[in-house]
Amino acid sequence: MKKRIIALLFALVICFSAVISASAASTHIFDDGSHLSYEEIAELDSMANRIENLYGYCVMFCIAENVDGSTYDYSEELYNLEADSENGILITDNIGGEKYSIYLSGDAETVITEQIEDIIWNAYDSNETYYGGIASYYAAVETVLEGGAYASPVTTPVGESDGSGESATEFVPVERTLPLVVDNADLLTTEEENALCARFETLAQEYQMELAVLTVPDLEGKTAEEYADDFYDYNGYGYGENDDGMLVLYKPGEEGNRYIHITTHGKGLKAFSNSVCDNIIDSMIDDLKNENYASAFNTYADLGEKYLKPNVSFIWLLMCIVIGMLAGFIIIKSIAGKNKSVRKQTNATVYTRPGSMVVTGSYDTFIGKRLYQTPKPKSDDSSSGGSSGGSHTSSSGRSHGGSGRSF
Amino acid sequence: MSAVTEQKCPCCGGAVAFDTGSQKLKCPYCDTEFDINDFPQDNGSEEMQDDINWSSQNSEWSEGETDGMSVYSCKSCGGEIIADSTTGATTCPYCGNQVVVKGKFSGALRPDLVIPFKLDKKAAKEALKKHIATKKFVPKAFKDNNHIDEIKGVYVPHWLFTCNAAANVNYSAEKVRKWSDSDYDYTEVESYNVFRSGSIGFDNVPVDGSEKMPDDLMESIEPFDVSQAVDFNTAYLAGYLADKYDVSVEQSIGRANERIRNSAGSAFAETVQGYTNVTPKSTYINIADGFYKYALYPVWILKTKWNGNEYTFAMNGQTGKFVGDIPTDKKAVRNATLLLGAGISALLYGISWLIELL
Repeated sequence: MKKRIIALLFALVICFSAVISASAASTHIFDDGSHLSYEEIAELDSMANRIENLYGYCVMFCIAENVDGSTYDYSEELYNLEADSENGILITDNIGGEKYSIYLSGDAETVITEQIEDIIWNAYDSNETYYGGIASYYAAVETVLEGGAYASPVTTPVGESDGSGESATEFVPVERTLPLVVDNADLLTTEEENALCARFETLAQEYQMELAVLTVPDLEGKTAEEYADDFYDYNGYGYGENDDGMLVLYKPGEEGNRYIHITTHGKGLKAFSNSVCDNIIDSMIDDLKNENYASAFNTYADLGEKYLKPNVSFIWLLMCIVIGMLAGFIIIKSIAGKNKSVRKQTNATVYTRPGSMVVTGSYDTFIGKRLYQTPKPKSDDSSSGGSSGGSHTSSSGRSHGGSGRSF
Repeated sequence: MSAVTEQKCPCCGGAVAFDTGSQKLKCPYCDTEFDINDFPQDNGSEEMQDDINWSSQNSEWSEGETDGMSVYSCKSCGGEIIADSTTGATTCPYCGNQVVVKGKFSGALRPDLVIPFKLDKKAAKEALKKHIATKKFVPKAFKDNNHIDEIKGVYVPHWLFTCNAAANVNYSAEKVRKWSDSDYDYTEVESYNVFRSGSIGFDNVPVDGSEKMPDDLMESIEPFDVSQAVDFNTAYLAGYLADKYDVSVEQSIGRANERIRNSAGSAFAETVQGYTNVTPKSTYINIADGFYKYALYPVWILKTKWNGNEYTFAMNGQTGKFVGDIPTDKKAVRNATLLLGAGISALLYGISWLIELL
């Protein structure tokens, strides 16, 4: 009986707290001057909830009237008071003060750059009604978080950005926005493209590693390495959290003007060392010259799978067996060796007369000194293309490996 | 005339034997105990081994065959005892009485010291059991069917060498220092010529003086504590086998020198400190002020047969140190190696897999 009462109380407490939190979470819109109807608030609220469920961002909006002092401080205070997620955005539109403020919290501070802030604000500001404005603000935020239209170096190449090097479109999206085969140079038939794409998807699932193909008609003023790295980064290629994968870039052209580059990232860096990338390119080059593109990219997929298959673990297994057997052999040998106890003595140390040792002469003469100087192996900072060793950092600040050449 | 003597009990006339428990002579017939020093000695007489005309008596003995043999007659029963020419004490095969061959330990051949047996036959048997039980991978058949074919307490003749070793050693030594800056790794090697001279003394380094006893077996049960040795008295031999030396001092001295040199060399090498590498370039060790003693050391010898092979064990009759090679079960060793190897492999692989995962 007692147990039941306790269980009942417990259940009640849980229900109650759930109700409280639910009611607290449902407030994303703060409308001081009743500019919005109840239905509109409910509609916007459900949009906010959707974003929160999908991306974990608490996206809020406040229509304030005549805030004294800093709008930003007001926003910060309001956010900390009302938001139930660490990551989030709060825009406060101060009607009387003619000043707005965007407050960013948690991850939002890095994801939302100043340029994106402008875009978001414009999305709101360019609308006639409050409802329409807030709705398009939510839509803009969702697009940014999804990593879509604002991030395509194909449409807005980084090379064309201004001298500041930072453009509104430059950030690494979480999810991949393009298929694994992007045939911008139109070298493959649709069937070939689909077949390759399906194959890469299967490989990605099987090995947790994305292999991708990109063909371009033009490098748009960048080196093949830069182009491949940027395309990989800014379109969110790569499997999982660390974006593990490999991408081959091919630009067709006249002899000597053809470029191929393989870029690797995340676990792809380890799985496909630069010499492995070289090998893959070696195997593809004849087909590419003869314009057997489907065959070349299938070779790429074959070799990629081949290098993934042993997955280092096969070599590991072999090494483990060799080391394990050796250790086992040594241990057992030393135990079995104790069965042999008849051995000649090598010295007479036990018979040394105690205290009888006298050192009468002791000279330590310094003869000379030699200094050997060996150059250190150069580490990871090489950035030149071609078959350079190690990895390099791409314009997004992430590290890439790989290899490439022109022919 | 006979070269064989028995330690007769003055009370009943029975043959007495040395008792390890009381370290005294004891008559097995009337239980009388005698202190070794009180017991009448008669080894002053220079009765030499009789040159019995073996070859002429028996024409079937081929030349050289009798070289290592001697024939004695037992004082108690008159039975004929055939023994090695080096045998100094033995048991009469007819009446079981302990006999000591007198001429073997007289004059220049008289041992200076003897370490009396401290441990008896029972202790030796126990030690063998324990020795086999503690070993792994012993064939089961050897463990189960193991029975002792022969067990005997032997006083083994040893030469004891005492000397001072004077050493002059040159070493080439190196101090190696490593460091690096952003561009280069540096290795600095400082070379030194190191010289050491001095002396070190060694007391009573033993060398097995018996041809029959394997040298490695005797060296394996070392060391004996010479401070417990007593002046030689034939009475100690009663009840045990005893051999006269048949390896001369001159033949033995090389082995002692070898061991002394090695010890002196390593003792001086230890004084060269503070270097990364030390290599001796030239080593001169002169052994001076040397003298030797002739001593009998107590050893229990046990023999077992298995699979047509003879296995010999030896126990230090003073300290109880027990040695002897035991056969290993090759199949068991192979299986254990595979099993342990597979286990370690799996463990390593598991760990590497975990690391890879993290």
